[in-house]
Amino acid sequence: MVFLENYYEILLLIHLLATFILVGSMTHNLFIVIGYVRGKFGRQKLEQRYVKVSLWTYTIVYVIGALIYPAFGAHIRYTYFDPQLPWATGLFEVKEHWGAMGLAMIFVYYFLRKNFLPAEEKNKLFLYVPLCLILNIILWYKVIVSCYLTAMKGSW
Amino acid sequence: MKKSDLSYLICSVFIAMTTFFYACAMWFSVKLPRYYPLEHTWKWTKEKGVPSQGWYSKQAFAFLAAGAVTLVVYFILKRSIDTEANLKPAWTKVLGVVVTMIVIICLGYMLHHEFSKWGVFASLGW
Repeated sequence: MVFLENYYEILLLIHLLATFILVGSMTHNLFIVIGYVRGKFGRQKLEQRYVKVSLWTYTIVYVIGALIYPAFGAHIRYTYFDPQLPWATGLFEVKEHWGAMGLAMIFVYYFLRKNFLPAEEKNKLFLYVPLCLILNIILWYKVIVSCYLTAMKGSW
Repeated sequence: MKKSDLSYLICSVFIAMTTFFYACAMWFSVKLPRYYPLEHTWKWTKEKGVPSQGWYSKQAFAFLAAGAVTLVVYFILKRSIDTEANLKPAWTKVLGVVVTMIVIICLGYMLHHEFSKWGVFASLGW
């Protein structure tokens, strides 16, 4: 028996629900951050709150994802995707690599935001804004690929 | 150095180094322990025909290596830089652009590596 395989479906559901909150908060965060580029700094507190929510939900999504990875790997990836749909494994692998980098990025993003004021230190937006964009690209890639792969084969 | 400037530098170094070391682990095929889910064990070798996962140790390698470099940079900055010196605006911008470029290049490499390996490009006809 593979680690946590009996709880795979419920954990996958929690993983999905936490992802909804994460994507919502990071996408809203992006819209406010784009406002910073245009010189609009009116919603800084709300933006900071979105960052905090994103940090917590990303951590939850990541931990659950790491816990269910062995069951997914053994029952779906190695038995179905690798031999029959290798390109699906390719999509999945990028999702995992980017997801790991996203974890480091979300902590850096939170720490950066905690220690600077966008309206007063505009030079730091040269890192903050691209990080926000990259994090959103990673998240949306993960969501689209995960939904697509789960639609093809979500359980065994 | 202002606390916000120091944290900006530290964050920049950490994120650039994390993506760099992760990409290096893939590029150089660094030998790291792999988890075997059916056997509940870790092994240094990659056995053919048995499911194994190298993702966990690849991350640990990147996070630890980047953490070590960041720590060294932190102590150097703490000791050598005048407490009242500020990070120049131009350098702040340059650092932001350079770090962004490193991150994009490393993420792009990861995508290219996996898409080539698993035939995603080929299935798209590229």
